[in-house]
Amino acid sequence: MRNVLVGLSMLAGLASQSLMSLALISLALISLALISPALADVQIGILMPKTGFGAGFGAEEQGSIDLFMSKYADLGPAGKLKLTIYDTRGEPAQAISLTRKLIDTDNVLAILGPYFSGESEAAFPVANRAATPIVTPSSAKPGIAAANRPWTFRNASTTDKTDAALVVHWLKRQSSPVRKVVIFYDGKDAVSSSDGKAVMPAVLKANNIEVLDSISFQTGDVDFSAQVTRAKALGADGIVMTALFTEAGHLTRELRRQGMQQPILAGVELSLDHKFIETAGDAAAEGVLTGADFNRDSPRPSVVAFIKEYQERVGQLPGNSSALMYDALFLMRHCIMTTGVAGSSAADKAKIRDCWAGLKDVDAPIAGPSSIDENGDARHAPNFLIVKSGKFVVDR
Amino acid sequence: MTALLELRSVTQRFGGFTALDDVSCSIEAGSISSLIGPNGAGKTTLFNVISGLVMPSAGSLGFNGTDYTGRRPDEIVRLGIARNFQQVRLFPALSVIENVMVGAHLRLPRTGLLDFMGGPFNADRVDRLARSIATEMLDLVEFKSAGDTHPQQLTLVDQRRIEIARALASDPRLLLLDEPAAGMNPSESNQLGAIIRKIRDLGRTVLLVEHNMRLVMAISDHVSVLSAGKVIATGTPSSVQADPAVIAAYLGNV
Amino acid sequence: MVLLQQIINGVMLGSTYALVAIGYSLIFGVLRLLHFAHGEVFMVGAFIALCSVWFLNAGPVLAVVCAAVGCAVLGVVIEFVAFRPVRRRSGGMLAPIVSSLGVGLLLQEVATNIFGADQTRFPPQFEATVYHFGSLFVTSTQLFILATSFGLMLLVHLFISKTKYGLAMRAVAENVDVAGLLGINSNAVVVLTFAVASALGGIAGVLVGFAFSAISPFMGISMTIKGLVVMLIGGLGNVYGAMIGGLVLGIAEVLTVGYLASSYRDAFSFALLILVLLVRPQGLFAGGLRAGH
Ligand SMILES: Nc1ncnc2c1ncn2[C@@H]1O[C@H](COP(=O)(O)OP(=O)(O)OP(=O)(O)O)[C@@H](O)[C@H]1O
Ligand SMILES: [Mg+2]
Repeated sequence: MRNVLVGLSMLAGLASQSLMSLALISLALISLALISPALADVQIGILMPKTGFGAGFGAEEQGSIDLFMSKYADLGPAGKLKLTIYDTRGEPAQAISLTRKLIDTDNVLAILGPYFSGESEAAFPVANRAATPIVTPSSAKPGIAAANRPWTFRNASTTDKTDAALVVHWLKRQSSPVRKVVIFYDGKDAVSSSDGKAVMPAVLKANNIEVLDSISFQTGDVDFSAQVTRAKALGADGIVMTALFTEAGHLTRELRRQGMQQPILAGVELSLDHKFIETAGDAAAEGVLTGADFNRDSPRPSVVAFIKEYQERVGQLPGNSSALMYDALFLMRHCIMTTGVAGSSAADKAKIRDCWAGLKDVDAPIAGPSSIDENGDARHAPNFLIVKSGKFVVDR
Repeated sequence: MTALLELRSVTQRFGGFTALDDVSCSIEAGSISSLIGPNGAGKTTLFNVISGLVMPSAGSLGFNGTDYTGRRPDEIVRLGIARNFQQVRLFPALSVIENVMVGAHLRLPRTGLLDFMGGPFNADRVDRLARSIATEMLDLVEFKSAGDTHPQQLTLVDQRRIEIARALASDPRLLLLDEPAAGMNPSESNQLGAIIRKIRDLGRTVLLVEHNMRLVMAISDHVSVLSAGKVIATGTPSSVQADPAVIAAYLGNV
Repeated sequence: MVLLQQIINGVMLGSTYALVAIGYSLIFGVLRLLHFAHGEVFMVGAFIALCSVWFLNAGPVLAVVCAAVGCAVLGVVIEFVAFRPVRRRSGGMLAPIVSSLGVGLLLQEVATNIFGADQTRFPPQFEATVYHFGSLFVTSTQLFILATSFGLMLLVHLFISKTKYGLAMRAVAENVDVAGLLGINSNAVVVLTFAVASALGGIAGVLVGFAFSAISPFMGISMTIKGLVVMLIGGLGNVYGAMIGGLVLGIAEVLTVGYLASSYRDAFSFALLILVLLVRPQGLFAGGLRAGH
């Protein structure tokens, strides 16, 4: 009986407490609504993988965010640039719910992110329906922005555009001709999978290259022995892989270990990450060709300055993901400044959308003149990079 | 005249039910003592208390002059008390000889992990010792079948023999036998009587719970009678047999 | 030839599964409990070996020994922290599952904090020498793994069937009460079981680290699941079943990837599991911590 009484009184206490807090919250909400126009800060949401298998990419992006905000947080009369950053863990489901949260709860003007194609495929329709601009700095699987017009964009070139140039360059530089290749692709990663199953085969076919077999693996795999043994028997004279850097590293290592010395072309999914070389080992990685938006050896003064400042601030060299995020932030700020938006109203969002849709030859610090095409995709010419003595260097 | 086992006012309650009610008794070293009583009298419960499977609700237990109330079963085996089970509880996944070898656990020399890693030979030495103890015990209880069979392939009588061998393998000073003759025909129980005597002659003390009166009367030095958790009589076989309280207890219950 | 090479690949993978599953089976056999942090013990083993290489300049053998000892200690600590308290309170099956899951997450978190979330690997001097025999090949690492894992399986067999501790373990697995009444300290046996099982799991972690040049705080998760699948295929708590089941799963996975597609790998493993359970619900080998035939 005593217990019941205690329990009842606790319940009553809870009820009165929650009433109180309800009142407080609504008060806070009202005051927020009153004050926020006066603050005049511009809220941008960022989605990126801070933990999980993509955490390395997220760290590269974070470095650029820190550097950028230290220099450009001030928007002049529009107040300050405010970022709300959420961790998607690289998971599409998280990307969806965090996109909703950024739009509904945080009331952001626009979103930068998410990182992966699988996430972007999931999150873009959400932002599109909510009429909020969303820009992925990195996802490269063709068609994702095109399928979600008019609110979605990306500041990365899609594989259908990069692959054609990459394959031609790769074929041209071989001393003995490549006629038959085996494709290895990550069946779990959205962009690698579409690249390896559809985009690369089409480009190779257009170059009269026979694809002997397409062999899949899964993000997170470390044992590639079965795939390589299967490929070894086919007699290919070239190897094409579309994979994230870790898996590409393990695959390359296993290829060389089993004695397959054919030239390797790695798709842009590799993201120019040095950990590819670490994982494969210098010897195995030697000669692997890949493409990337970022050319660390570019003589452009803005690139040189970026690399120097990034290194000073973060203590590491910027990666491809750092470069993409830095440009995306730059272009987003460019749109905020030129349109003069000061909040997150529907009209403000429409202005940002129109700015992105109409970007033409805006001089971004890393990629230089940047434009967005009718599909909402960026158009960058890829840089060709080859591994030489444990380093990526620009080819030719 | 030293008491090997001494129970002082042992009471065992299960919920509201008193299975043992202020039981005091002592077992002389080197004797064969028997505990009889109607079904449900508390005999097996008393074994469970002595062997440490249950903690008595009250009272104390002494063995060879030391109070061992509250010790763990394996520590009690180390003191020198071993038992069998009324409902045979052999390890079905172990062969007959392995079952008995488990009983020898405490007698085997300590094999350090390093000894073992040093090579299987050292382990083999212990294994051989265990096997020879087990074989000796199986011979003692006159178990005739092969040692590598599994217990469930054998008759209940054989299984009871194995359990006795397993209990003996720890080299106990006191052996508790709970209805070892159950299911035996007269010639088998005569044989068992001889085995129990042999065990006693090897210097062990035996406490026997048995419904087979012929066996009890033939081999016991002392008999105690338990009824409804109380000791109602104790003495020589013939004196107990003539005790009117005992006769009443049996008639009243059966 | 390709098939033969694929089977070699499968035996490599499978022998590490087997080592993990043996540990699982020992613990399940003795305690009837699922140890959901066993995969993380495997992961910690790989990191201990890595540290021994970094700080003690250890070679492969010393690295394996360090991992075995470190994980044995870790396993015993887990028994005292996560299992013994809830076992005493007899909270049913659920309590130990939850507490071991918790320990697993904690270990993962600690490893991530110390070593970072990225994959690391043994330094290049652990790079394997490759031996080619016609179109077949084996590496020195693979030979080391084979020798270590099959050697350990033999040791486990000897331990269980020939030593008094192994016999005690089997007795406790059969019936704790009776084992106690025969003089066996079941708590000590449980501690020993955790030590042996965890040492094996830790060694498997080192071997996987050697074989695939990938050590990460998350490498244990899939091992926990694979170990469970292997145990179900082999027969709950049966050590010999775990050995065979590990090899069967490894070969099945490699053949699926080699002849079908990697996306079927897990589906195929579960199909195999379901098939085995349909035909022999008790697994390939009947339950129980049994010795030999
Ligand atoms: N763990 C227990 N919980 C509750 N009651 C118990 C427990 N163990 C025994 N009892 C009860 O105690 C009483 C004595 O049982 P016990 O088994 O000791 O009898 P017994 O003298 O050995 O009988 P039998 O000759 O049939 O073997 C019985 O009524 C039994 O139901
Ligand atoms: Mg009884």
